[in-house]
Amino acid sequence: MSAAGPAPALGTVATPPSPVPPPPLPRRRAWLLLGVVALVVLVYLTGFSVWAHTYTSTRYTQLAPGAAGTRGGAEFRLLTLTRSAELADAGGGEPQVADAGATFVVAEVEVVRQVADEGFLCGVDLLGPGGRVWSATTVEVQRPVPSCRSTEVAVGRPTRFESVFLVPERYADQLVGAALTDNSGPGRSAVLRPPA
Amino acid sequence: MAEPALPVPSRRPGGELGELLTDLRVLVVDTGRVWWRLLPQVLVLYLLGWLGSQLALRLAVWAGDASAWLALVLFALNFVALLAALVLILRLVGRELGIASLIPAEESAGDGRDESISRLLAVTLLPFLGLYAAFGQVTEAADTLVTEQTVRYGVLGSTETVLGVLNDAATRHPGRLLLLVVGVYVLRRVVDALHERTGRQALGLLVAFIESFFILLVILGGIRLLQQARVWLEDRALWGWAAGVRDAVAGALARLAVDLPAVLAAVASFLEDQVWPVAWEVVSQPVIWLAVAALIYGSQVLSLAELWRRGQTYAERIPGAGVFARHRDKIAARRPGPPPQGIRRVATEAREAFLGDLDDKYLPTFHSLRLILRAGLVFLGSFVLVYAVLDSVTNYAETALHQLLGGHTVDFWLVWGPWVDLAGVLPFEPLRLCLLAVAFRRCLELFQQRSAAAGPVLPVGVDRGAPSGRGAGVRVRRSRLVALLTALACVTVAAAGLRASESGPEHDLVRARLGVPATTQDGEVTVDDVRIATSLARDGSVTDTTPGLFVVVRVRAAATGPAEQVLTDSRLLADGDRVYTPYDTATARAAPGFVESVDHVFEVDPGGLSDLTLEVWRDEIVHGYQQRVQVHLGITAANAAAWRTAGAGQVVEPDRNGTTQVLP
Repeated sequence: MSAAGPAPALGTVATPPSPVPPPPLPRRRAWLLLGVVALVVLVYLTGFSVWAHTYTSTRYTQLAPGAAGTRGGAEFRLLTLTRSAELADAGGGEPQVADAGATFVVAEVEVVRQVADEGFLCGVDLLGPGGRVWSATTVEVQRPVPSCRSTEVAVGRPTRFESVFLVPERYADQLVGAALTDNSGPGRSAVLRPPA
Repeated sequence: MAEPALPVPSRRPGGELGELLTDLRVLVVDTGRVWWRLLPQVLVLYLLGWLGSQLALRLAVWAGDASAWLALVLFALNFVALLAALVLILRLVGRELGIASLIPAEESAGDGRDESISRLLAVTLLPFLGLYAAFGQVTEAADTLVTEQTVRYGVLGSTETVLGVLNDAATRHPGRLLLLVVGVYVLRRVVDALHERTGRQALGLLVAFIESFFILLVILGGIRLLQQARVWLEDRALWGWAAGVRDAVAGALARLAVDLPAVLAAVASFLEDQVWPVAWEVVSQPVIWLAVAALIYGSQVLSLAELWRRGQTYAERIPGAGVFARHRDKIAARRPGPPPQGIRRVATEAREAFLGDLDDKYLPTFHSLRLILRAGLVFLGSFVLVYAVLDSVTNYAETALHQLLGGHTVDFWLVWGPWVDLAGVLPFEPLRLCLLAVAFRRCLELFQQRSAAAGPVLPVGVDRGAPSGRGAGVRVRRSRLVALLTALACVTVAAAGLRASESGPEHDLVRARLGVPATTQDGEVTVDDVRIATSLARDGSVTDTTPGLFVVVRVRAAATGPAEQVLTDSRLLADGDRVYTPYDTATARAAPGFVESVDHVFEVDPGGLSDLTLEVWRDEIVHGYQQRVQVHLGITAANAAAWRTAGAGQVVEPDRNGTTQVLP
């Protein structure tokens, strides 16, 4: 191994004196600086993860009984939330019976579109214990109150609809309310409760 | 006080094997030593660069709310931040290794890159960006931006992603997009010219920034334009004539019992699967990285302008590997006395506009590459081997990290993505950069030793007085052959090691036995009730019949936790890497507290029934390392014949819509 320092010339070319490099950062200070930078990176990572978690996960806020919630330029109010083992057929046919161990939960909702928002959706979800969420199911019988059709809700005119959910019986007594799930941003989604 | 530069080992006697061992020892030991010496400084630079690139990415995502074009502009900063850190780390390590002292004064760049960081960045960022683009890292980063935008706006959202806007521009307004690409190119050349005239370093950085934007624009938008052009071309009669000629040739060869399409497919497959990975990943990437890293240290080489001026070929100009081009010659060539007039001036400007880019970015890199390749086969083999070992360790670490974290849906990877990314690169990227610097220094040492052994550089055509005679020629040929074999052995070991390290699972495979629930993050998945038939029915009527066999499998998705359990995709794995995709789509979506059962149907070759394994998972438009459930269907080589016999002539009515039940 050759000694440290300026190397001999390459071929016939004389080696010039190399420029004196600036003194390197003392090692202890370098480690200290690394600690500071690592802390800054850690703060960024933590901040990002907290922000991303709030953005990607749906969080809910429970409203007072009977209070209205808003989503997509419309105001929603939960009128009733009832459970039943079977759904009556308004057309006089046989009722639809829930599967064994399950029950129907019917949410009757009134919505008023305040602005013509392109992203308006009238559907609601059902929030249960531990963050369990059920989407509305398709019913096989004719109902007295129509189900939600977003395109048929006119601006400014109160419209009633019902959403029917199939829920395991063991959770039916622990329901939180009808959720206006909104995944378009980091905000909380409102959970409607029927009037007391 | 500065620590002394690392000692320089010389070649040891012992032939090519001795050289190989020396090179390996230098590369490994010196890389480790310089890494440890500069660890805090290198980590500080890398972390700052990484943080800068992350912030640029977040800014770009947020800016996308206002304009996708603004997002693209800000996204360009992502590369500038990261590459600036790489350049600075290479410079720092190069100083520690005393690389500057190994480059003769007249061969050094002489453009101020040693004195000024901004100058260094301005002249070296462009080839780095080109390299990033060539290795697909620009596309990869752009995918990240589009992914985050897609998640932010939703797949069906009305706000367009960068890719959506560029796609729209390419398909609806290709002329405008082409104009924009040309406009940005011209803008960069103008700012570049201003930078050269004024010498302002801020303009140099601006050039790098515009270049970054230009590359993004070309890669993301230009590709669409090319696809449009291809579609247009395929509609022309010329394309049909070409296809006719191809078919005629294929027909003629068919008479000679040569299946041209099959031969071409086999050749393409061989090149793609065997040759390309070795040539590109194992050999080219490390060598090109080394060549580009060499630019940091001022080994400015012959430029196109100088070639024109001298009217000589590169080989004529450079009799030995240790001779570098002179940057000041290039500068002088660009200052050709009195200002040109009229047509001459237009020609000069046009030449500068079109060839200047080649001159500035690609030619120095190309000649730097030639320089590296002249370091000798044994050195290149050892460098490729050490580089591959580092790459392999990185791959194994990534696999271990994935297995430690387990498979998750995209939400998890979006939240923890930056942590995983940093954990995957921070331990290894500084080591890789140290290796590049050490390897370049070793190159210079080899040139130095070779020059010293060969004596003074003589004019072209003058005999060096090298050993002559038949015996000497044989010895030289034998030595070259041994060197070639040594290098090939290194490349082979590197390729095998790298391949092995890349074979880690792409998914978190949750294996279970038939009829036994597999526990997943959202609940349980049970696969059972395997049926074999030759016909399928719906509502009691036969709808499908196959000359092979239908395999119908019941999959039960149980949402035992608070989340719904969703299984949207499946495939059937058979012996010999054969994979069957579903005959019908079958999706199970169980709400909390429910289990949903649905039948998955596959049409299979009766001869390949044994060892069928079903794989089911939740398909996501954007996904990371996620869980997949694998269940062996219980058909083995011993009982496959019995299954075949039992299935012959059978009709099965699969449950396509699914059955929902409450979990007990």
